Formats: sequence, structure tokens, C-alpha cells
Amino acid sequence: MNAPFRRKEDNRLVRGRGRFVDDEGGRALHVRLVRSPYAHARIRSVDVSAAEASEGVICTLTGAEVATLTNRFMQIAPPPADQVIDYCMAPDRVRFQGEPVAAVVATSVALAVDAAEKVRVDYEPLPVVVDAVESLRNETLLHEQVGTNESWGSLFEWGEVDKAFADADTVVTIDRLKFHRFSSTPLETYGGVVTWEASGRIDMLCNLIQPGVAMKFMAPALSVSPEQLRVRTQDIGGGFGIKQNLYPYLMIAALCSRKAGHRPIKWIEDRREHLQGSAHGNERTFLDIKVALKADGEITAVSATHIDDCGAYPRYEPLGGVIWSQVAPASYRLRNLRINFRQAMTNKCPVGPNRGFSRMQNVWFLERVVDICAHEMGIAPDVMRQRNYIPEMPWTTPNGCVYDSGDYAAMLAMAKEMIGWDDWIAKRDAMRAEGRLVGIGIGTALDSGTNNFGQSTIVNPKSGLSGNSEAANVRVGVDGSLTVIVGSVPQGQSHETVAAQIVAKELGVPEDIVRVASGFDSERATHTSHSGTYASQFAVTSVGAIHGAVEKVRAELLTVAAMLLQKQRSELRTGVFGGVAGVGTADGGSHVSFADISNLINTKTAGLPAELEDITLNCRYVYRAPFQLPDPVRKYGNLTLTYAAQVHVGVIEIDPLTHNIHVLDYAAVDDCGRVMNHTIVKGQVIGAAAHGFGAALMENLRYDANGNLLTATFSDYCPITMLNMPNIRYGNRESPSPFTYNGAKGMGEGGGGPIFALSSALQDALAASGARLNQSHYSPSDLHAVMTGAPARGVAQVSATRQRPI
Amino acid sequence: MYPSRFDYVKAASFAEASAALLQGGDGAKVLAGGQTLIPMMKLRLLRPELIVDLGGIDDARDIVVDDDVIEIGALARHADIGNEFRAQNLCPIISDCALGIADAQVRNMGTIGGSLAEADPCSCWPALLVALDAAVLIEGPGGTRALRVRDLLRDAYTPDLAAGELITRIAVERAALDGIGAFVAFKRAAPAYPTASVALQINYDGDRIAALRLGFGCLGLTPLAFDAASDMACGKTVTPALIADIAAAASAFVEPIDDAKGSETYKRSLAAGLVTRAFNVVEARRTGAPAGETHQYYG
Repeated sequence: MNAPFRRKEDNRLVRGRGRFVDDEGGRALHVRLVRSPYAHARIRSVDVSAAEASEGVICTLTGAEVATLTNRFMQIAPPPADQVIDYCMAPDRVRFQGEPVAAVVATSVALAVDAAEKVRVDYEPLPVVVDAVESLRNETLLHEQVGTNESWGSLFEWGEVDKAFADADTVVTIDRLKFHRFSSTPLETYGGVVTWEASGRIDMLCNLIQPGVAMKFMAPALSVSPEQLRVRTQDIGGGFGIKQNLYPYLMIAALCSRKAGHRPIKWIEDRREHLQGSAHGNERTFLDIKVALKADGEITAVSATHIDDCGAYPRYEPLGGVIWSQVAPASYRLRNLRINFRQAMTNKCPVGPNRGFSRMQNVWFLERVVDICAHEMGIAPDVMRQRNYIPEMPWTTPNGCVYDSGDYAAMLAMAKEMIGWDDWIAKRDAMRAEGRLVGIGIGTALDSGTNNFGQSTIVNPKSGLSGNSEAANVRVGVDGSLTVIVGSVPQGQSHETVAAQIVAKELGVPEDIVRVASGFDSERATHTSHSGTYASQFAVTSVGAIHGAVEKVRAELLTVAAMLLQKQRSELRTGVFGGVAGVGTADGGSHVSFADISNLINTKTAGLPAELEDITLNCRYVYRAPFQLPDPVRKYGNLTLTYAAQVHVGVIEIDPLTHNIHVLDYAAVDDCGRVMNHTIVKGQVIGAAAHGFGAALMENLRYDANGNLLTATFSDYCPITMLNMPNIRYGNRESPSPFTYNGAKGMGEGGGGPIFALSSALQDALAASGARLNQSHYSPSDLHAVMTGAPARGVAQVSATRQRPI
Repeated sequence: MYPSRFDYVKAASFAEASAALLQGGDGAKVLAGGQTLIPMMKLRLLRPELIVDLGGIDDARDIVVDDDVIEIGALARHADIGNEFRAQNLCPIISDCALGIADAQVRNMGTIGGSLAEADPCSCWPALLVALDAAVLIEGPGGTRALRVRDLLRDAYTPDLAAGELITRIAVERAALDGIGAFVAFKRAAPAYPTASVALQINYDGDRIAALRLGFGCLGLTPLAFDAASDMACGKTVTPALIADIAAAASAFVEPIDDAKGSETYKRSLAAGLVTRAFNVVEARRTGAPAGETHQYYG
């Protein structure tokens, strides 16, 4: 099951023979967007006449036209934020820098770019709000008809919070923590080749990663049925969740196609557009934090206000307003929680469900709480965690989520052993004695997978989504090969390899006869409304669907073989007989090949016995995760099926010459249940860790007070590369999930680990200095400011105080 | 990411290039490797009407090392220069600088003359050549002239070159390279410009410092040469106290601006830190101890 396995995808991807969106659309017209240089402005006028007269231009499209041709996007939020007016292009007002205001269609990209520069837009700048806390004061409204900048807010309270504070031995208060804004950096940017065909069908070849949900946004806006949209994907060069926000751009391309006489339109986002206008991760500020503790360090209650920043338009939000509660107590047995969650709209790029979506922010918050409390109580951070980790599995959290399996204390012990914890403590102390700034930190990350869309009812009782599902189809070819189709949308996660591995193992045949036709096609491939690749669910939903489809195919193969071989079905099994995949008896004395069976059903059908007339050898199975609707009033229910976990331990040193943070040693232990392929799991763990190191050390989407993105190129945003990566000691534990057929869990979103561990290690390194850290990202300059007590640029010092409860 | 339209001339000689530039007027730009120019054109931050490509001038890539002077053709590529000096185990300050520039792709295309003519205060060659008080040979419609790099780079992004003038050669006196040197830089990632860089060349008389050159990149509107450091150092041995004194003086001397890479205060601290590191590398090289990386990245 878990032998190293050569990735089926690699031959084409590594050799540059993949087929990505930008490889398609040879005869398409090209569209270039005109984007707002202002973060907030009224559009007085848009003059496209010079652009339309430009060489090679077929047509233009303005926001004002879009407002007459389409409906505003549906909003997930209940009133009043359901009144947010969001079109795929701004009709009369822009709300973030980079928001599209016009599109120019031409015969080549270069001509479209030339012509787009000739579009004259007259803007009247408006006051800008870039800070979420300030935004909630509603002094500058983004959407006046909503009457507030709050897209959603609600009080989450579970357990007996007041009693826990009254009974506490110690109460620690922390005034402010801040999780910064960063994103993913897929090698391939957003793109699509879109044709609004004369028949009414809208064909979208694109790199959406959650097509079913995007179709629900696009179809009503275009006044068409979702079934009129043909959304399809091929190879995708990374997605990390943020490609979900591609749909407004696909709509622009669709409208351009219709206006251009139903010709195909190609749009490929450039890197600056991507950094400025695609989707960012959620930024979150934590205020008024109070923690109740027992004398031994047991945390009994936490109360805080969480202010999330969703940017200019909610789009997939405010779902993040409930998604975080999948991991409400993080990895801790904490029973009493009161979180006032509020989400603000600001004049910044809309957020998208970036890797670790909304849970990463909450786990970082609690990891900081644990470390700060440990420090205040004089308890070592590893001991503090051991005292607070969830002690047994399955574990029902105060809000009804069921953590399926895992042993966080054992994972921490493993990580400590891998890194040589005791030796490092001694070394750290010796280095400190020499005046060196060395710190050791722990991060416990949770990667909850296969979400229950029913949690959307906690945000809005009228949400039309619940549960989770995926479809797969397995077909036996006339050559005896097996073709697998699944609704997942791989972006580099090796679905072809794993799907082939599952089918081959289940049927006892070689992997090389299993062909996986990857790529989504809403018209011609199999899918459900939940299909896609997001929220760590392939290993559960897709593999569950493939397993179900294989069982159906096996049953059909046995039925046909039993008739042909004159045996009972119970005497037969699938496997390799005489070197060929087929069905036969256990001793191999009697057998028939898959090819012969398939030809009987597909090719030589004259005289087919009546008892075989329902046999197709082309079997579809829909996996449905076993979910109920949560209780939206109590905000209670099981919100995800599986909980993979990571424990990271890092040793860092602050270079006094540069204030650079050097990682001296690092260990990452992952537990994603039964591992289907160790090579792939390790790759996902290292890749997610790279994302986390980048976020902690390098990647920070910074805006100035006017809403100008200061990091709009790679030389300013500086995504992490190999040269910035420390060596990682990798470890794995397997705690099979009781809720999936093979014990596997979804994984790959453990990018929080390094952010948590490095925050923790930095605090340890600076513990003696009295400097307190309250951010998830510190550039060397920011760190210098904290260490010298200089007035920092946007860096507030945290003050934590410990007191007896009154 | 598509440049605006431009005309293109590939010159076979500097004279031909100069004539084409004069004819092209203000709209003409030189392509001498293109590792800055082309990205700027793709972002349409620059929209030249005419590109004069020097890539066809084959006799301007030579590296000549003789007893008095090192001469480098303006079109020598960063990688070629760095590899040549490293192979000859000569003047590590030059190979540090050349092989620390950006990433391998940039080093394989970018040229020393292109880097100087761009006059970016954060680029590495200008910082090194100002510190070493190098000179350039310039060819133009008025003939040929020589100019100190310090005079060439009196302002950011605007070298002291008249219309049609081109840098053809770079010359560094061997005397400036006597002793042991190091070029150190700190940057976020390989392709990023440094947050700051420091060039340090020390000539020793026994254990004592006979001459010292110290210069900075990215810590002012032009590369800065800190000539006063020589007076502080000459006649002394290298001690932690001396390093601390020079680092503190350097920190006060530099003229950094507050920007996305760091606050002014931080950059002053970094200047002192990189001076210290440069001394440490030079000392390690003098004693044969492992010197560590000269270019450090985040992480």
C-alpha cells in the first residue's frame, strides 16, 4: 500500500510536456484588463474610444456594461452584508487597487496590452481604509447600502466561560496579536480560455480548483443554468486554494466572447496582476485576550475578539467566519471558549481560501496563547503543551467537532527526540551564556480535512449547501486496461499516482494498466457539486469514491466471469493470470482476461445473455461523507471528518549583525492517518513547510495607508526559494482514521507549522530581553525595532499581564 | 508583461552603437545584458522606442590582469568575471561581488558595463568599484575619455554619460587590490537586490593595516566610499575594538532611506553588522579559517 511509487505525472510534468491553460486557445482572441490604480475611488467616466480604434482590437467591455449584462454575485453573508454589490468588473466604484474596470479584446496579447493603455478612466479618489479594526469604526464605508463594513460577525460561546474564569488560579491577558497577510505563489497564475458558444453553452477551460461552487456564483450572475456552463481543467501549476477566486475573471472572458461574436477568448493573468488582484490569505487581529489557567498550567478558558480582514469583497467569505471553528480549541482539551468573531471589509485585495484557510489563523492564535501563558507561568513550552494536549481520541470538542485520531503528545515526543531536545536546551543555554540569541519553539498544527458544508448554515441559515461528496468512475477498456475518472482537480498533488495505486491494489493488478484521466469536466466527466481539490479532502472523498467505483466494477467483472467460467462468484477473484489482468479461481486453473470480459460487454454484444444486460463495466460511485447539519444556534456539530496533525520543533538564532533569523535545526512530524504513499506525503509536508517558512520570514503583503500594494513584484514580495530553506528532519506517525475506509486522512495544509514554531522560538530567543512578540511575521527590520524598542513600523509590542482573578 | 513596441539595432562596434543612440535620441536605450532593462520594459515602466543591442560587440568581454591594472571589457558577464577570478584564486573581493549578484540566470546574461551604466545604488558592481576607486573608459561622439567611477555615479540611476556615450572598459589599479578583501551583502532572496552591501579591502604591513578601503551599496543615493575609515585603521592591528569603532563610524556615515527593505535605523545597524562581517571574512581569509558565505539570504 505504501511502497515508494514513481509518480505517474512526472514524466510529462518534469519534461515540460504538461498541458496547461496557457498551452491552449491557439486561435483565441486575447483580453487585457484595465485595472484601478486607486484603492478606493468613484469612476466618473470610462472612455474606450481610443482603445477601440487601436490596431487589432475587436471590442471592449466596461464595468458599466457588465452591470447591465449580468447580475451582481450572490453573497454568502446574511443581511445586511448580503447587500454587497459585487460584479466581475467595477461599474461605478473601485474598492481595491487592481480591481478591473474595463477589458480590451484584441487579436494578440501585445495588441490588447497596447490598446488597454489607451482606455481613459476618470477617477475621483475616496478615503481609504486598510486596517480591519479601523474599518469596523465605519468612518469610511466601502458598501454604503450595507451600512457597515462588517461582512459578518457573531459570538461563539461554548462551555462555562464565566465559571472557568471565576475558578481560575491565574488569568493572563494579552492585548493584541496579529496574523499577517500573505498568499500562495502558484507557478501558474490564473487563466482561462472561454467561449460563449452561439448554442448558449459557455465553455471554460481554466484552472479553477473548486469548480462546483464557482459555477454556483457564475450561473445566476450570467442568468444561465449551471448546466449551461462547461467548466474543465487540465494540468494546473499549483493552486493552494486561492485559485477559487478565478470566477469573476472567467465571467469577464465569457462576456467578451459573446460580444466578440462567440469567439474564444484567452486570458492569462500576469504576475503583477496576480500579486495585486487574485486572492490573498486572511489577515486576522486578536484583541482583548483573556486566558483562565489552573496553577499547573492547564488552560480552562479563553475569551477574545477576533477581527478578520476579508478585503474589498467577501466572495468566498464570510465562510472563514465559521471554518476556523473546525479547530476551535486547536490541539488542546480546552472546554470553555468565548470568541467574538468579526470580519471587516477593507480597501485591499479580496481574500481567498489560502492553504490552511481560516484554521491556520486560529491555531496560530492558540499556539501564541499557550506559549505566552507558559512564559508567564514559568512553565516550559513542551510541558505546557503536554498538560494541555487532547488526551484521548476520538475527542469531541466543545463545539461538537470530532477529532478522529492522533496522539499529539507522542508526536511532540518524537519531534523532540528527532531534534535532540535535551541537547539543544543545553546548547542553547551555553550559546546564550556567550551572548547569542538562540530560541527553541514548538508548533502544533492541525489540518482538518473533508469539511461539512453544512457549517455554512452557521453563517447563513439560508445557505443551500451541506455535507460533502465526490464522484469517481472506473471503466474496463477493451484492451483490459482500467480508466479512472474522478471529480478532483489536481494542481500537483499526485492524484493520478494515488488513484492508480488504489485501483491496482484493490484489484490485484499492476499500476501500469490503470490510466487516470485527470482533469475536471462538468459536462463529460464525473463530478458532484462539491467536486474539486480543496480543504484536504482527496484522500477521503476522492479515494472513497474511487474505492466505491472499483467495488462496483469488481462485482460486474465477477458476475460476467462467473458466467463465462461456469463458477460461483465466491470462487473467483481479480488479479493477474498468465501475465494478464483478469478474473480467475484462486488456483489460477480457470480464468478470463479483463479484455475478453470487456469485449463481451462492449464489442461482441449479439446474443448477450439477459442476466448481463445491466452490466456496463463503466461504474460510477458517489462518496458522501457521513455528516449531519450542525445546530446553527449553538454553533455545534461535526464540521470536518478528519484531523491530520503536525508537530514542528525549530531552533533559531537571531544574527546580531543582520537581525536575520537563522534556522539552526528543524523537525517536522506529520500524522495523516494511514499513509497511502510516503513519497507524496513527505513532499506535501516539506512543501507546506516551505510555505510556512516563507510566510514567517519573507512573504508579507504590505499596503500603505492609501491602499497601494507595496509588494507587487517578486523582487518586493520575495517568495521563498530553495536558497532560503533550512534542512528539515521529517518524521511520520500513522494514526488511522476510524472514519475512512482505509484509515487515510486528507493532508497537505500543514503550512502553519513553521509559522507557529518560529513565533514560539523567537519568543524563546528574546525571552530574557523582555521583548514580546505579537506578530506572525518579522522581517529583520521589524525584529530590530522590537529588540531596540524603537518605534516600529506597524509593529506593536504585546503586553501580557498575569494576575489573580478578582 | 509585454513591452511596448520598439525598434531594434544590433551594433557590431561601440562606434556603431554610439551613432545609433545619437540618432535614436531620448527614446533610445542600450541593451547590455538586459537583466534590468527587460523586466522594466515588460512592466512598461520603461518604453524605449529604440533598443541598441551591444550583444554583437564580441571584443569587449575580455578580462586582462597585468601587474599594474586589471581591465575588464564592459560586456564581460558577471559569471565570466566571477569564475575567472575564482579560478585564478585572485582578488576574492571581485569574485565575491560577481558571483553574489542575483541568481545564475542573471549572472549568465548581465554585464559589468550594463550594471555601471544603470547606476542603481543597490547594485553590487557600483558599490565595489566606488570602494576600489576604479575608472571607466568611455567612448562617444566626442572621442574617448576616462572617468573615475565615483564621478560617473554622482546620482542614482543617472550616470554622467553624454548622449551617445558608452562605457567600454573598466580599470582597477592593482594597488587598490593589494592585500585581502571581501564583498558581503545581505538580501531577502537570491534574485532580490541587497538590503545593503559592504566592500572591504585591507592591505597589511605585517599585522598592521597599511591601507584600507571601505564602501557601501544600497545605503545612500549612490554607492558610498568611506575614506575616513582608512585614517581610523592605518597603523593598527585588527582587534574587536577597532572593528567596533569602524562599524560604529560606518553606521553614522551611511545615508540610508526608510523603504520596504527596512527602516533607516535598521539599515544603520545593518551597515555596522556587515562591516563587522566583512572584517571577519577578511580575517578568516588571512588566517586560512573558513570564511562562510559572503552573501546571506533571509532564513
